Amino acid sequence: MSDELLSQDEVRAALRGYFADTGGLDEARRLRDAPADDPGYDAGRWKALAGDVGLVSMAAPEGAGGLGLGLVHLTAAAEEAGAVLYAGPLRASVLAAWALGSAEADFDGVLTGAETVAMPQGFAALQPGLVLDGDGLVGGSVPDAAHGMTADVLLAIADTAQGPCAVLVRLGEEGVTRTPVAATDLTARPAALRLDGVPAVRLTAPGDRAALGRVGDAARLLLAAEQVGGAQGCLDHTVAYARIRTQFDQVIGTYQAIQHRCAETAIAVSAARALVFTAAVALDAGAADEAHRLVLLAKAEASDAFEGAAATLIQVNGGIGFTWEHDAHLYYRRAKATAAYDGRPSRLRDEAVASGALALLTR
Amino acid sequence: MTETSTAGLAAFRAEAEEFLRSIAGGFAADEAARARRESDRIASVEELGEGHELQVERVRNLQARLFDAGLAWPSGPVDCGGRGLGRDHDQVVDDLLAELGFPSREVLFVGLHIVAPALDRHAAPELRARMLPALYRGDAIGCQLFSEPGAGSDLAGVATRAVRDGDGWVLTGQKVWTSMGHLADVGEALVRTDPDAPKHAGMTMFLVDMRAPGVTVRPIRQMTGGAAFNEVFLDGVRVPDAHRIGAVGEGWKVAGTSLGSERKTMVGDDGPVSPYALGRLAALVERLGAADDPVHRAEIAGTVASVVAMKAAAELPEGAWGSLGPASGSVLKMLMTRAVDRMAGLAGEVLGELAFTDSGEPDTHAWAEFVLGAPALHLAGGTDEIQLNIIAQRGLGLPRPPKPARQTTEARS
Ligand SMILES: Cc1cc2nc3c(=O)[nH]c(=O)nc-3n(C[C@H](O)[C@H](O)[C@H](O)COP(=O)(O)OP(=O)(O)OC[C@H]3O[C@@H](n4cnc5c(N)ncnc54)[C@H](O)[C@@H]3O)c2cc1C
Repeated sequence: MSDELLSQDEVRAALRGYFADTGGLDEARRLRDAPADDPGYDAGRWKALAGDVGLVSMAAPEGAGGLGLGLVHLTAAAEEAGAVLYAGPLRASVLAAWALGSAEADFDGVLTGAETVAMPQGFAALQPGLVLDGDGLVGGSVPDAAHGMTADVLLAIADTAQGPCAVLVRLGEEGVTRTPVAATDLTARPAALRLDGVPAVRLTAPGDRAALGRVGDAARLLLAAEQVGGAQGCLDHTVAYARIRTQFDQVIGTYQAIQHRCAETAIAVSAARALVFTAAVALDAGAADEAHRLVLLAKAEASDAFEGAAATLIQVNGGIGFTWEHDAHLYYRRAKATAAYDGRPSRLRDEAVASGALALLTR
Repeated sequence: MTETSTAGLAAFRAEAEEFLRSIAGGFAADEAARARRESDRIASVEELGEGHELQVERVRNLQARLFDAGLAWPSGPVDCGGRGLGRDHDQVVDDLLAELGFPSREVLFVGLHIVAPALDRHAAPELRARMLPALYRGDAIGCQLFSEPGAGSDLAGVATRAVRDGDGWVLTGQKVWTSMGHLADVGEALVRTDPDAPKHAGMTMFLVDMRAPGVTVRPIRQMTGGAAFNEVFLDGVRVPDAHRIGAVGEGWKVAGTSLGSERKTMVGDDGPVSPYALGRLAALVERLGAADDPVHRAEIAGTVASVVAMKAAAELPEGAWGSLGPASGSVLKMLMTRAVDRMAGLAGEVLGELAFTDSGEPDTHAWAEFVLGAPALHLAGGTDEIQLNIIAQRGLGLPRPPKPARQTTEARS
């Protein structure tokens, strides 16, 4: 596959094909009743997705043997993963590979997807709970690192004397304690991590807020893309049920109240998808200020779209939609939780305006 | 769509800019043009009514100069006065016209974006070759004769009849809500040619000469006060068969081309979410310091998001639409009406009572017209409810509602 020729439509199609072949929601379904320390995903399948499908190397810098593709492609992939509530370490792993431009250490495993990555659920808005000292050792805690029980590497933000920076930490080292954490989103599988003098590699220069901001914006945007995918997944399941369920001798999908509720969901999903897309284009183009505002708005819209779509999924399914066995609550849980990570919509909108979003009106 | 190199586009832009600057003086010197630019007016639907003849002449003049310079329709076919370039070239000209303060070409909207696409795609070569240049040169202003008093959302219910008469047809019936009908030279008329065929099959499209005997146009006053739409009576109007657009009985297909193009264009820069309106709104919010007021921030963010989403959705690659593709025009139209609502809502919120009583302060009461125009957009080009039906049925594949059982004579008695 030549990088020039790999369009985001092709990325979408490849991931859609992969998830269709691997049972779609099956992996997520299993997590309804899995213990908290279950990794949440099949390691073999993750390797296939990361390596064979080329998900992680697609994002990795060209110098490191990747395709050097941007966030436009990664968000398309994250959307497809979100649609089936994929619980693998996709967001953290592609983000780490994408951000690994100038790191001085050897993280080939991250670049190929052989090493999996954990990161805090709300990466962009989090106050760093880690401190990086002058000897390159990190200490402190991350209360909810997604995939924290199994990941090989942690991507997080640490404070230094010169200010915060993004770091990578090998979790196999001595001084790492992992504890499973219960979470509303049953597909999240977070762990609390305690780090005690563990070697860390800086991904951004200490105090370089612009560089850190870029990683934060990318993290928030990938989360928003997963939400758009989640909303699309809800819509697909809603429509599928509306086409077969009969009441009053009619398929409920013929009722206009149901049709319009589905159509409104489709419109909200399209709007959120468009915002994610345009924010990704801006981030890829290096328009940092504009991208930051767009990312805030995109995450807000994507949260609303996902929450709305998940509520519609339950409503259109009727009573069955409120059962433990049904998939709806898996979506609903993730919608509610992800809307809270990295800032609720109201907070993000406020921040967007405070950071000059009005200028987007006339761009 | 033709692919364009960045260099090619830049060269085209330079050429267009040089030409437009060379004629800008003539338009800027025009009293009425200056008055319009300097006036406070800001509308979400255009209000061309009485006294706008001068403005119409100016737009015709502008369009002719553009056409003769090869800038009226860069993406159009060469044999009809276009240049066979990519659509991004059209956009370059539109952007430059707005930047340089040329008068709005709204009056040409129906002809260029509703009638012309139907002619381009479905008309016989002779009609196409004659009418497309006329529309694009501004020599012919077009209107859309689709809606009837009894056929709005149910457009396939049109009752206006066309009966064959020698080498032509005779049209009789009534159309309504005809935008620009009072200024139009030609009208694209959807009429019934076979009352016995199934509803959607018995229709044919014609291009009607609006000055022909038997055509009567009566203005209807809009709730905004202006009179940009009309009722049109067709009383035994003779139309040559050469003015048929598409095959007999294929009118519904031709209408589909026009409606699809109408919806798409409504989200473009020529539509109500214009760079001009957005610039005015941004300046208003800025002037009032509304972004510093926590009360207004959610509304500002929501407005910005809706506008950006609309524009970005129009740029989404094919694959992003998935199965929704065939209904993307309806989604875009809904995103447009939302953006307009939010813009009107934001202006109304930050101005409060200032918007609704004329205090004489500039850029305040002007926004009331924008607010008042917004409901039209939820109707024109197909109502919200119809768009939602299209999205649900054509985009999401939900089943059509069952037809109501025909009342039989027995059941009624
Ligand atoms: C400013 C403006 C300019 C216009 N310009 C033109 C023009 O140039 N040429 C032209 O031909 N027409 C024009 N129109 C007409 C426009 O296309 C129609 O008004 C529109 O299609 C609605 O038809 P109607 O007015 O007959 O309303 P109706 O069809 O009677 O609808 C009334 C209400 O019922 C709802 N409704 C109807 N059917 C359904 C259904 N199946 N499901 C759910 N709800 C339904 C509608 O959504 C609406 O809320 C214009 C309209 C406006 C407002």
